[in-house]
Amino acid sequence: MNTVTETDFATAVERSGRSYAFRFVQPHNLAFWLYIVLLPIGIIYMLNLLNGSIRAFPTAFVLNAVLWILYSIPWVLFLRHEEMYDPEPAKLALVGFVWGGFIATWVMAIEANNAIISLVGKLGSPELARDWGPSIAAPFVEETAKAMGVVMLVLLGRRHVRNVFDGAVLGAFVGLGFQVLEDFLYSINAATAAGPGNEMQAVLGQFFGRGFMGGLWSHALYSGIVGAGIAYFVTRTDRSPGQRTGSLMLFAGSAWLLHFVWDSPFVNGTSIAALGMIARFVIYPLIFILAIRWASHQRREELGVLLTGEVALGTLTEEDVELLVMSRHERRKGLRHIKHEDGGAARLDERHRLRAARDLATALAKSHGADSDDVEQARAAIGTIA
Amino acid sequence: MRVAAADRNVFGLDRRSVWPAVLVAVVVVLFGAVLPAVNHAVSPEETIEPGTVFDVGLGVSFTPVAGWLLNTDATTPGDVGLPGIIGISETGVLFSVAAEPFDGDLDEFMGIATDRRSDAVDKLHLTSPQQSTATSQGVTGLTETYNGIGVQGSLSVFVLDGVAVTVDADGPEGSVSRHAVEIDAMTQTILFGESGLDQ
Repeated sequence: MNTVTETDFATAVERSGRSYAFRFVQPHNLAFWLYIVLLPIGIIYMLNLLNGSIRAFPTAFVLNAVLWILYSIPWVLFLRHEEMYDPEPAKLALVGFVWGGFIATWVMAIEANNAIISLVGKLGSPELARDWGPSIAAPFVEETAKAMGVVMLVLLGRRHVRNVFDGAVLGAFVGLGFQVLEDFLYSINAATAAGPGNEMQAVLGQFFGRGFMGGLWSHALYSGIVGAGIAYFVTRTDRSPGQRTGSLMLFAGSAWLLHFVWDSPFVNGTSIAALGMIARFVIYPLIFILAIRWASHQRREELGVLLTGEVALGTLTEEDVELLVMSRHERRKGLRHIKHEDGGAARLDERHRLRAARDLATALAKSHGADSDDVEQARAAIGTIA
Repeated sequence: MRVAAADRNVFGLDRRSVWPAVLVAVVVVLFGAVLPAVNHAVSPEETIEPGTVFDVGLGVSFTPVAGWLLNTDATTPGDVGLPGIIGISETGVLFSVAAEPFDGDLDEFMGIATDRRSDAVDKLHLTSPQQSTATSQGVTGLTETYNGIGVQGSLSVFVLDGVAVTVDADGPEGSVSRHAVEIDAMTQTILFGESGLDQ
């Protein structure tokens, strides 16, 4: 096990962001006031747009709401997953979700998208607008609108955006909010178009079509990439401004390109359907999984730094910490080895120790390494496990 | 965020948050107000003026919504004795009205029109069953909605006195729903037995 300097420890604490609570109400922060002004505008716009449909098809509206809430649950579980060790504050993620769902969608994207597609038709041709309009307008408008949400999260919760992983996760929540509310609109529109008696079928069709066949959580993927770029720009002050700006452009450009290809006739059109399916179900999820694995690797290294001192204190063994910083796959193999050597009860105990060790890491980050009550309680919890 | 007094400006706001928040506000205004205003200000020659009526051919005409664009590539005007098609567009939606001679009944023509759309749209499936509809003139027809890969559309047909009219609106996903009210309004303006109007 490598030794950890005080600087390494302080850096890991700082990067964890757990030593600061997040408060939404910040009267001295202009970003807070901007958010407060824009949110009602978005909600009123949405209600005006959907009011007739909701009144005409209340049951379809409820079904629609339930389905898209269910669609969001895997992301919430992801946020709270123990593998994350240091989950983002739920309030901050919620602020991002609401920006994506109510401000990026209704205040910014819907009018701008229509305007750009219409301009493409006027200045180019109607065919160009029909075939390429969405892929020209949506990546620029929607990725920018969601990116502004990540910027707002940085302004509102700067201390919680400590690394690329934070930016990716928070960006994904902005994107998730955008996708859920956008798809909600499409579904309720489809119910209206289908008419009485057919509205439930239309809602279900839109849910499976847009939520699954159209690609899983596509907006979360794009915004996760943009969020990572913004976080890199904000946090990597050890790099030159040129490097940071270049990286931001690279991340944002990648998200824009993915979104462009997704909306273009190449993937979304009528000619190369097979390629579209491969992109939706293989290439894009693969990109997302690789990005998460890379970011998660960085997080585990910080976990190791925070807990190394506990080995010297005897709270944890070197094997405990080594298991914690392993990938999930390697850790499972390690736990299987423990079961093989010492039996199933030993493996279960080790799993409990690892979970308690993550709590200890969070407590250490919160206390900046001091022996706070939470730290002592977490150590005691580990001590009770054989 | 705790803010030291020295970090506040005259309004008591944290100086560090001001310019980034102003940048966000500028982008919001650009997207929410400036781009739509620019779009409204740009008006090409093909923009349809209020009160325009298009003669499709075979005595069929309709009144488009002002502000849409005449799609010349999708238009082959007919006349009193010839079939034709008029296409108009808005934000990616192509709305077309075609007239042709037809001796069968409404159900039969709906089958033909649906087959034509199936040939043109990959993986077309109906998202609502056929329903009855009517123009303001009182001519009854049939209507249905469909989806394809990346495409959403609505199809209506009318048959009267040996003339069949196909009204199709298609565009990227979500676009047709967004213009549903205008599409319905234009469909209702279809007139049989009128001609000699604007081309």
